[in-house]
Order: sequence, then structure tokens, then C-alpha cells
Amino acid sequence: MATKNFLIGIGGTGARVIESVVHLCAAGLGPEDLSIFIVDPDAGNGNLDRTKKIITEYRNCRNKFQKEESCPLFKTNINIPPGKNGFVWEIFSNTKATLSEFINYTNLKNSAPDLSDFASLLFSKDELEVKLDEGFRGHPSIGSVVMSNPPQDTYPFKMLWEDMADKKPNDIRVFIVGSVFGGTGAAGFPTLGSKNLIKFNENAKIGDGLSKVLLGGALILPYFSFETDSNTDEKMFVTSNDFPIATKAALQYYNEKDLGFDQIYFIGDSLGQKVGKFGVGSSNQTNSPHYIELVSGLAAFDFFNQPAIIGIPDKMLFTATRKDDIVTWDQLPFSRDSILLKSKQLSFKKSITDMTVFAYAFLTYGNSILKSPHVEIKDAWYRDYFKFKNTREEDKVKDPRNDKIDEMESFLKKFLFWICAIDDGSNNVQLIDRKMIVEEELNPSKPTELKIIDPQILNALNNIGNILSKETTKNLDFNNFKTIGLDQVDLKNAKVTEAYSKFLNIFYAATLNFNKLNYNFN
Amino acid sequence: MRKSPLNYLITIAFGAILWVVTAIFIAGSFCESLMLAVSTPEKFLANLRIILGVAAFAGIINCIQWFYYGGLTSTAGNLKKAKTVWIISLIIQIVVSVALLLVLIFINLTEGILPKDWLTIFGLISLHTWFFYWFSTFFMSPRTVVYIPLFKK
Repeated sequence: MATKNFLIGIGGTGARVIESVVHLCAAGLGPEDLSIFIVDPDAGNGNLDRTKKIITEYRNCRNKFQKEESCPLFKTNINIPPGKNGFVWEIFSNTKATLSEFINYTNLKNSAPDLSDFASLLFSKDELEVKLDEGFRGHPSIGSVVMSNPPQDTYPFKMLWEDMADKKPNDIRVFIVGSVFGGTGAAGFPTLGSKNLIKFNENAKIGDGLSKVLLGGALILPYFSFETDSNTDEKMFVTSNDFPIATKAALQYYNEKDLGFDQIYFIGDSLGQKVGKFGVGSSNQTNSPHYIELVSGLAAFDFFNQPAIIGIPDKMLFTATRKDDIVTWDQLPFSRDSILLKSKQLSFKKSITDMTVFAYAFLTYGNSILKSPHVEIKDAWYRDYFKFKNTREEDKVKDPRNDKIDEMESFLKKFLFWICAIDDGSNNVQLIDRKMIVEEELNPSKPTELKIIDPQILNALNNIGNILSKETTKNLDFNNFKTIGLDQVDLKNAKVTEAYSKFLNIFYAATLNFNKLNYNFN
Repeated sequence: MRKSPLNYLITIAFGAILWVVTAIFIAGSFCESLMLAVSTPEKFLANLRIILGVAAFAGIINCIQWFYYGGLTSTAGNLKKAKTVWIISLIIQIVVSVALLLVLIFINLTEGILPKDWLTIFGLISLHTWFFYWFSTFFMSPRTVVYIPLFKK
């Protein structure tokens, strides 16, 4: 493969965008190959923790899922740096580090008083003494000091420079994503995007202004608000009221700096949707997913999927806007190429709907089948594909009930949580209608404890045919999912031998049958 | 064979052919060998043909009802109920067989027909009722309820 794709998430927003990217990859929308890592000093950040788990689960599900040839699910081979701590550059080796310790402020006072005076001019006492293991708390000036020299010979940055020998100019596509309004992202985006750190790193530089790296980035402008805990004892933290001024200052700074980015996507939203309660950092910081994170993932895919660039790339800046306050499928930005826009919109809508219906059907009806004794199941599709005697030891391999299902179940629950949480209940985001899928409010710290509505109960029978917000469909019900979906699946010639994978493939094929008729997908 | 209306047509045709085989050929030769006290073999044969006709009608109607029920989308939502419906239908067919046999016994009480002959007649009636129902639904049930009939694996 000529090109290599890298996605670097910075801070909590970066982690949340990566979470969206992983879900989009699971729905079959990502590139063939993608390497991911995160930069965040807040190692215990709840958003980061959630993202780490979702990547691990994605990779495990992908490895264990034997797919039928045409099935696009889990298409992307997601690579992460090896080693227990390789995935996240936590910046500090000391978990309770302060800026004062990082710059040896106490020693400077004795050895170089001029420098220590200069440091105290740039940074307040609070900034020098605050513990940085929970991020930079909306103070990018601290972050830019400590992030300016990442270790290139150890993971995760080492991963960027592996297998470089045969690479031509712009073959290594590196996409950095971070928020402009917080601490870690605002510090990391211009620091990692500076010319010498990645773009013209000695491993990438070819000469004559050429580099093996094509550097892109998504700069996330303010897009959400959160509730602040008035009882907090913390002195330094960021609130959503600080976002506009922090953004203005950061953009002014970036404009003056000659950064190494070839292409930048500016992404933000003025709706200010609430994404949960405020946490200074650490595990307290778990927020609900937001559609802007999905859009940022689409920006990354647009960057990775662009045609090869020969020579020095032109600098490009991308923005997209909504027509009004309502976010619908046809308002999402998918491609820099306006000719492809319509087809990509349709393809995206189909992929997300397919994945959602698949996850919904599998987690409800599919699970109920797997929890029932084999002999009691009279459903035609099941009997056709799972012929075995569960009393015979040698027939155990033909039984789809095994441990592998648990991991897929957990991942699909997280997918449903993610796609449902994007609908914040305000009626502004009209993509998937979460009322059709989940019973009550979503808890971002417990994404797998979803109360999924059983589509087989009488008053929810039509839900599966109406998961798209404000769209007219054929209104087919869950019994139709069985009769025109599952009962019509034909996988007799598929080369899937493993029972658990066969079970999943049947559900996905049934989803395609059902969605084609109900949602008019081709 | 499972698809509508093919399963309906095959079942009706099969029921009719079975009636011809049982009522015309088998019953014809069977009545010739019967020793009757009062009635004539022709009169008994006529009654037997009517009974077999009613049996065939009951069998066909029950199959048609099952095919219709099995073809409903809502049936896919409750296969346990479908199993109950199928078993009740089978029991009804057995009851119909017994009832038709009793009718024939009642109108021929004085004829002195041997128990083994009544057993043969019950066999002929059963061919049209519960056995016909089981056989037709075993091979021609709609896709959703294909594994509901007894012994279908």
C-alpha cells in the first residue's frame, strides 16, 4: 500500500473524535488502513478511557469476525502503537508533574534568576504549581511548553517513521485533531503542527520543500456547552463561557504562526448542545458524543481519501456551514468534491442506518435467540443455518453461542449509545431518532448499560422501520424484519465457516434486505 | 412448493387425488368384501364416500387455514403461538376422524361390521384428516412456520 494514514487525537476532544472515527469504521466508512494514537497528559480522562476501550474492542471484534465477502463492517484495519502505554503520549513520566517541575523552576531561581523571573512573568503562580496530570485546564500556554519536544524514537511517535523507505512525497497522511478552545488541544494543535515536528521532520523531509508527510488537521471550534459544578474546589479549569475568547486568541496566534499544515478543516457549531456535567479532568470528564465529532471524523476520511498529490501541495482551508438550526443527513459535509457530495451523503446515510438496524436487531432479538436453548428455537432462518445436536461434543463448533459474542455485544451497545447520544433530544439533530431505540436518558459514563427497547413488544413493533428522524418510510415492523429480512437470507454459498460469524452475517444480510425495502436503499 | 399460491393448489389437488384413490378405488374394493346384515354394499359405499369427502374437505380446509396463518407477517412474531395453533389443528383433525367414524358406525349399527373393518375405515378417514394435514404442512408450510410441524428438523 502506497499511502499510510495516521490520525492523532489531542486532548479530550481528540479522543472523542477518535471514538466517532472508530464507530464510523465499524459501519464500513473508514479507509482500508488507519493508525491511531492520542496525545493527552490526562491519562485518566474518562473520554480517553472510553476511546481506548472502544479501539481495543474494535480490534478484537474485527479479528474474530469472519465476514462474508461483501460485508463492509469493520473494514478498516486500525493499528495502534505496540506496548501497554504506546497508544497515548502522556507527556509526563511523573504522574503528579507541575510546570514548575518541568522547567526546573526552583533550580532556575538559584542558577539563572533572570530566566526564573522571565518564567514568572509568563506564568502565574497557579499555572506553575497546578498538577498537569489532568490536562492543561484551558491554559494552552502551559501545554505548548511541555509538548514542544515529543520523543520521536519511542512509541507512539516512532510509529510515524516506520516503513518509510519506499514512501514518496505526501504518501504519509497525518491528520491531527484537537479543540481550539480548551487546554491540551489548543496547545498541541499548533505545536505538533509546527513545521519541524512532523511535516518537515528529518525522517520525512525530502528536500526542495518536499516532504513524505501530507499534514492535515481538524481544528475544532466551540461546539458544546456543559454544566459547571459550583461546589468544585479547583482553582484552574475551563468553562464553556471561556470558549469564545480562548478561540479568538488561539486563532489569532495560529494566523501569525507559519504552521506546517497543508490542509485544515475548521469545524464548529453554534447550537451549544449540552454534553453532560463538567469535570476538571481525569475520570470525571466523560461527555456525551456530539454530531460535530462525527463531522470531524468525516473530515479525516475526506483527507485520507483524497487523490495522490504530486509535488508541493497547495495550502487548503475547509469550512462548511448549516443552512439553518436543523442538522439533517443532507447537511453533513462529506467531500471536498461537490460532484461526489450527493452520492457520499446517500452512502453515509445507508451505512449508518444499516449499522444501527443491525446493532438494534442483534442486541435485542439476536440476543434472545442466543440465550434460548437450541432445541426450542423454531425460527426458519436459524434452523436452516444451525443444524446440530447440542448434546454432541463435536457439534459444539456449530453452536453460535460462545464467548466471542460478548465482545461484539459490548461494542454494538457502545455504537448504539454513540449514535443515539448524537440525538440530544433538542430536535436540532435529525439523524437517528433515539426514542425509537432506547428507553431513557443516556449515561455517558455507562454506555453499555443501555435500556434498549424490545422491538418485539406490540407498541414498539414499528420502531425498527422508523429509526430515521422525520423521514417517511414504508413503516415495516419487526415481524417484517424476520420475514423479508432473516427468512430471505441466502448465505449458502458464503465462505463463512465459524458459527458465531455466520450468525452475525445472517443478521447483517437481513438488515440489508429489510432496509432496502423499508428505507428504499439500493 | 412452499410459496403461495402453489402450496394451496397442490394441497387441493393432492386432497382431490387422494379422495379418488381412497373413495373410488380402495373403498370400492373394500366394500365388495364386506358382509352386511341389512344394507347393500352399494349403499354403504355411497355413505363411506360421503364421509371420506367430508374428511377430505376438513383436511384441505385446515391446511388452507394453516397456510394462510403461517403466511401472515404477524405469525413471525410469535412462533410459540403458531406451534399451539398447529397442534390444536392436528387434534381437531383427529377429533373429526373419530366423529366421522362414529357417524358411520351409528348409521350402520345393525350391519354387524367387524372391528378390523372399522379400523380400516378409520385408517381411510385418517388419511384425509390428520395425516393429510401433517403431511401437507410438513412439506408445504410457509417459510416462517416451516419448522413448526411435528418431526420437522
